[in-house]
Amino acid sequence: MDVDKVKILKSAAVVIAIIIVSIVTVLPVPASQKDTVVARGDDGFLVTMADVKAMRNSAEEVIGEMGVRPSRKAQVTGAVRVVLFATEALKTGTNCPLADQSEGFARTIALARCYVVEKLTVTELREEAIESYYLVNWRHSVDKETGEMCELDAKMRQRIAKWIWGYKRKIFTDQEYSNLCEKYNVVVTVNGS
Amino acid sequence: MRKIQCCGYRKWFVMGTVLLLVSGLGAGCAHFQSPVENSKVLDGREGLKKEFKQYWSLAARKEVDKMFAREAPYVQEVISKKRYRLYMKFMTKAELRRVDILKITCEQPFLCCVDCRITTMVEGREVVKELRDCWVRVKSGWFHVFKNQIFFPMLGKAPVVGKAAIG
Repeated sequence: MDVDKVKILKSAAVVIAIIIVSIVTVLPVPASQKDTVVARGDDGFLVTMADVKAMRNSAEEVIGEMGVRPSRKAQVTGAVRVVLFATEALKTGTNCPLADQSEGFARTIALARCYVVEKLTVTELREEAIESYYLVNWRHSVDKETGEMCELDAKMRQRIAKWIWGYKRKIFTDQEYSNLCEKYNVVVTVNGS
Repeated sequence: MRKIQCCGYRKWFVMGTVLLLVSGLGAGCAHFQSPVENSKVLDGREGLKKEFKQYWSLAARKEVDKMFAREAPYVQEVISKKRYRLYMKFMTKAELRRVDILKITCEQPFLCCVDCRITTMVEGREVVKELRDCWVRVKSGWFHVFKNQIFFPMLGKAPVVGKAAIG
């Protein structure tokens, strides 16, 4: 083999090596492959560890206020829940101006929020729910000066409604999460525990 | 001219005094009107006894969904039917034999508690327990006040809604 041929083969090998190294290191890898998939389902539903991290970062402020860090499992479930609601929001055409102003995972969170709000606004709180709560807790409504029970005014009504809505929202989101998991055949592959 | 000025001041003084008096009289909160007074449902205790018997008959037949519909409206909103079912499935395991009313105490016309004796059969043995079951009356009738601070802590830790809290 003459020297020229050897040189050509050597340079070709170097070029091929450079190309391979470039493919492996330089070219972008799809997010779904780069991150560990924590949940997948029908219609391309996919949640990765990057989503879990993004979710954790966005909730950092709230977590700090509460002084309790949710478990890894709760973080994974939270991310799956948010992505599910956002997916459904897009599918059902939920009106969400807030999502148009946001990007990345903040957009996902905005969509999920809009979805829950839209669904909850069609649900009404029965007047008797507020009234019954008020009556059962009547001792809290006694005027110290007169010893008489106060009327159920707008302010009090609002306070009770807020308390009830807190639990109603939780019941709704739990139920909706369960329904959507079924709808998209979601399988959580990494539970984070 | 001076006279007019004098009367103007006097008018304002009188108006101010009246306003102060009115605001003084209005101190505290507006008086509560009980739903029982406006209600057209069955007379207090008879209606309560009827509802009580129905509720416990449902418990004996383990008709948990129907029991849920008889819980106070706010209870139905803050706990899910699914969790209630799970809890009641466990609670209604024993065979309910009879429920006897011992005493009815009403701390308000719209809030009464029934002291009762419950007889159940557990593994072939008769078990008798006494319990206090509370009921609230809203416009549409009497509702059971479900409370369990261990399984449903929110029902025991209700926020203060009174004047003091509102300020």
